[in-house]
Amino acid sequence: MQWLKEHWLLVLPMVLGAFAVARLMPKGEPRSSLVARLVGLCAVGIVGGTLLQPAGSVLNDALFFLFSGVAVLGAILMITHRNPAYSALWFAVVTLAVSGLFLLQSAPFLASATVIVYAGAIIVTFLFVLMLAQQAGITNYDQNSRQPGVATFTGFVLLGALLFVLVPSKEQAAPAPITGFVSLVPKASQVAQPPHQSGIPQSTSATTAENFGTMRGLGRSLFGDYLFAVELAGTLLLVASIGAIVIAPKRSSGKL
Amino acid sequence: MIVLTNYLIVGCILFVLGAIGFLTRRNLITLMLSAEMMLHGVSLNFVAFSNFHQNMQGQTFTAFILTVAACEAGIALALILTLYKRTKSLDVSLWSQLSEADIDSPHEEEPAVPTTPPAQKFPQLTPAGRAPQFQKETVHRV
Amino acid sequence: MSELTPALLWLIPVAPLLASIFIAFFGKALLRGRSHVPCVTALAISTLCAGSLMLMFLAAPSQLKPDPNTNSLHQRPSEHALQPVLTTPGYAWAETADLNVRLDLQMDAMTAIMLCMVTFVSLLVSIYASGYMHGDPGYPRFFAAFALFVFSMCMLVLADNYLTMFIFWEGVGLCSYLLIGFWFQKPSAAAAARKAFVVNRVGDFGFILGVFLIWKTFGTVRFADVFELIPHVAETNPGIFTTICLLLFLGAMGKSAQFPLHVWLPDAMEGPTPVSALIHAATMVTAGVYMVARSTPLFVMSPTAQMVVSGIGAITALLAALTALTQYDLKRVLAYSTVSQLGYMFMALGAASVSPKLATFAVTAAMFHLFTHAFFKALLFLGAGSVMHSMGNVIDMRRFSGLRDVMPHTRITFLIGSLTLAGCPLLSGFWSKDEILVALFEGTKAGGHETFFMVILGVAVLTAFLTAFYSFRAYNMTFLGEERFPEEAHHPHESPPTMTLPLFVLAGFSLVIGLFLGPTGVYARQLAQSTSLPGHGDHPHNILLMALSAAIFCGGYGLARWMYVKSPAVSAGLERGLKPLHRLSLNKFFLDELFNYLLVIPVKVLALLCTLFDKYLLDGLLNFAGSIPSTIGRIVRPIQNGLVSHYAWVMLLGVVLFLIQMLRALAG
Repeated sequence: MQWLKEHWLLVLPMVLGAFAVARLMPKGEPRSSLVARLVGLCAVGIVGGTLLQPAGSVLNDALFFLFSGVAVLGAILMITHRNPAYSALWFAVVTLAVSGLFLLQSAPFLASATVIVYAGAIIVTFLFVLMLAQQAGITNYDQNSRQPGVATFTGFVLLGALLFVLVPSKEQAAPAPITGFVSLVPKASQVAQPPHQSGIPQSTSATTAENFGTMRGLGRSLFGDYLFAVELAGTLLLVASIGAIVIAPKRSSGKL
Repeated sequence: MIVLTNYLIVGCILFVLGAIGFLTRRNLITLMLSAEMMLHGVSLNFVAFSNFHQNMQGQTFTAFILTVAACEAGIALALILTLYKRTKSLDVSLWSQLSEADIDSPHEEEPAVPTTPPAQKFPQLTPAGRAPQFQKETVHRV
Repeated sequence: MSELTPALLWLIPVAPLLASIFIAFFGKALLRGRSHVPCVTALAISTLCAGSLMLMFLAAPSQLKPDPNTNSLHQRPSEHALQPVLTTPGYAWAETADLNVRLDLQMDAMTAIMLCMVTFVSLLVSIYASGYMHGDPGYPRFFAAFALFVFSMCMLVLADNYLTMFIFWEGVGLCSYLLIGFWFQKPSAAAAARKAFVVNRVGDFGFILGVFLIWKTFGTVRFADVFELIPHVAETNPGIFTTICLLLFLGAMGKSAQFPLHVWLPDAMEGPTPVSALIHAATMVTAGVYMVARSTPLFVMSPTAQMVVSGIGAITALLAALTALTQYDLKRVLAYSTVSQLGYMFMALGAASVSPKLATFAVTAAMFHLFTHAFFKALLFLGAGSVMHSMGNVIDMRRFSGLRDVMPHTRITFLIGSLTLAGCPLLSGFWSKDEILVALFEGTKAGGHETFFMVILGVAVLTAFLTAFYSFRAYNMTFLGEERFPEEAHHPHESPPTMTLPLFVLAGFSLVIGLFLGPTGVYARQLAQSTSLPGHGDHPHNILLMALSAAIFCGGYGLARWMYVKSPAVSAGLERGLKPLHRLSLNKFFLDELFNYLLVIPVKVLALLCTLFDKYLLDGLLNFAGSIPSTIGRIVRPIQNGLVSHYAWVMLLGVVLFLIQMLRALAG
């Protein structure tokens, strides 16, 4: 009880969110989901209002809350929608919102790469959905999710555990803005100076603070420090494309 | 000042929602999308740490994640096509050959298909290119 | 001669053994109808060897000089007499730290007498059997088992220690089992064989316990060593003798068919008649008597045990004689007669407790009766077999009579046998029975148990009268009266010479052997030389008792003749008048039924309970133990449902648990 009293701000949105998601999951006949939607909004609101801390810069905060809100709500809608085509569309929304968050985190290249890669992926997926799902029509498996209660509960327990780590408790919150598990992470200033012991490639001059967030810095890192890994990733792509061709049904083997 | 925790929390939420979607949904395509969303959550995490540390390692890793996600999407779609060809269905529950021989099929417990499907419409692609031949003939006859 | 004696001694048991092996392996293929040849030959050799050794003993005991080199011959100094013992080294059979058993042969006077009797009677019976068993499909099997029996019996007699004796004791039991169940297709024969075997187990159990106790007490099982150590043990642990003797006597009770273990012997008559004659009348059943006689030094130490021996003997003699009165099966009459005579022998053995001086006489009386009984009982059985042979295997005395003219040879020999059994004066049975009565009479005069022996003597006299009566009842019913045959007898005829010849030989011996050996004292002197006896003691005579037994014989004979020949209506009237008593006797005092209720049914109930216990409790426990893993498996198995999402869920669950545990660790 003591524990609940201390952490009710953490537990409450978890319970509400779990209820909302479980309720929204497709199961049997379609039903009115207004209450669940409201509860879900409440949960998201509580999380946004209490757990997230404004950084101070108004524009930054506004953009962050916008993108993250869109991403979370889009994610909920994506996983709960009865129609896979709309799921795909909501996924596109989530991807765009995440790209926006990338931008806020000084990763413009990744933001654009994500949009480009996923735009291709999403369109292809969308085409598949239209092609296959329209053939199948309204299907049983889209209307019935499996054990939504249990899965949602497990998922939200995991989320609760993660947030419990990330969010500082009240007495800890007072002295320092960064507390909890995150406070164990060394600061940037501490990282930069001493040589790494852990086997992570030593940062070259390209990855120092002045190149951070630029294409140049990322290129230096990728083709300097991680050249071998990049080659491997390229090989992986090649293998995957060959594999996809092999796995996919041949035209000669009949109509889809 | 950049608040690292905020991004981590959003990443976590995306990851967990993706996981829930992966667990509950039965459409193979939705499953794939859910997995991609989990990757989004992880990517967000990396990027946030990268910014926090002011170095490029997190972003580099996210680039690799993108690569792997692309591979995954390609192979997954190929697989989905193959599986669909076998069963004429996207239901993942049909693929339970790993189960013990004597337990009941998971299909039996699920309720029947809703008798009155909601009037939902799939988005239609507008026809493009030259119109099919028979339309011409119809026009001609009229 | 001296160098040859070990070879001769070994030849006695080995010849039948070789014959048995030969017949067993080649009988069916080669010998078939000639299977008796090796057996008879081997028995003839054994008889010759035994006879020559016997003569050696008789002629000059002093010639049997001790031989320091081979130790094959040595004289044990004794305060009473020279006791020549002929031992032949065999081989060390069991050598351990505490138990050293050699398979040596030992021959003293008692052994010699037994050997002569066994081999000679066996020889005659085997000749008889070659005629009697002619044409039987199991002809070779019969002679193989027969020869094996003679081997076992000779080894039993020749054994120089209790353990070897026990082994061949079991050996004769085995042969008895095989031969009783010779016609194993007959359910009654198979049941009789099983009954004999099982009842004998009871006795043998006692015997082996006795042997163990002897080994524990004396540290050795050799007769000579045990007897030497008796004075030593008597000082330290005098109470042990009673236990040992009673256990040994339990063995004797089983083998020699003493009450209450006598029930197997009448049933054993299911076997072929020669077998009944040899094994269940002349030889094997006397093994118990021989064993007790051999252990006389032990029994002398325990008057209590000897009283028990005497008492059991008396009960057996009387009960068996009473049962024999009313039986209609000729062979059963003889079987009960055998049981009764064996009881007689044990009565005499028990009389050895009167005084050490009388011990030798009492044992001599028993052994003498054993000796003469072997001849005339074999004779009677063979005569009964001859009747059976002629009557188409019918043995019920009510179904035939007046065979006097059809089977003159059988009749005359059977008459001699009956006279001997009944104790007709001057015939062998008279002398041996008289000695027993004398021994018992001595018991009534001294020794502290006068009253007890008075009762025993009374029983003995009564039994003698009954014996005379029932033996002539059997004779009269069979051979006298009007001539009647059962329909199974297609052509009643006298038996072939191979069967009548042994009858005449045995009849001759029955007639004269008692007179030659008994009153002359030859037998007693000879037997007194044996190692087991304290030496030559008193040899009392009692003319009055002789007259009494002669009178008893006349009374029994006359009564039987009156009831069954002169006026048969009397016996029928008596039968009706004493209906309950008659039924009691006819049904063998309901002992079989009593045993059935007292032993068989409780054991069956116990077995049923065990079955239930096994079936429901043990099997239930085992099945329960077996069902635990399968139940757990059934509970856990749905997890493995093959659904990817489900596996992913389990993974996620694992991650959650791991994370929470890690957090708890971090939080301290």
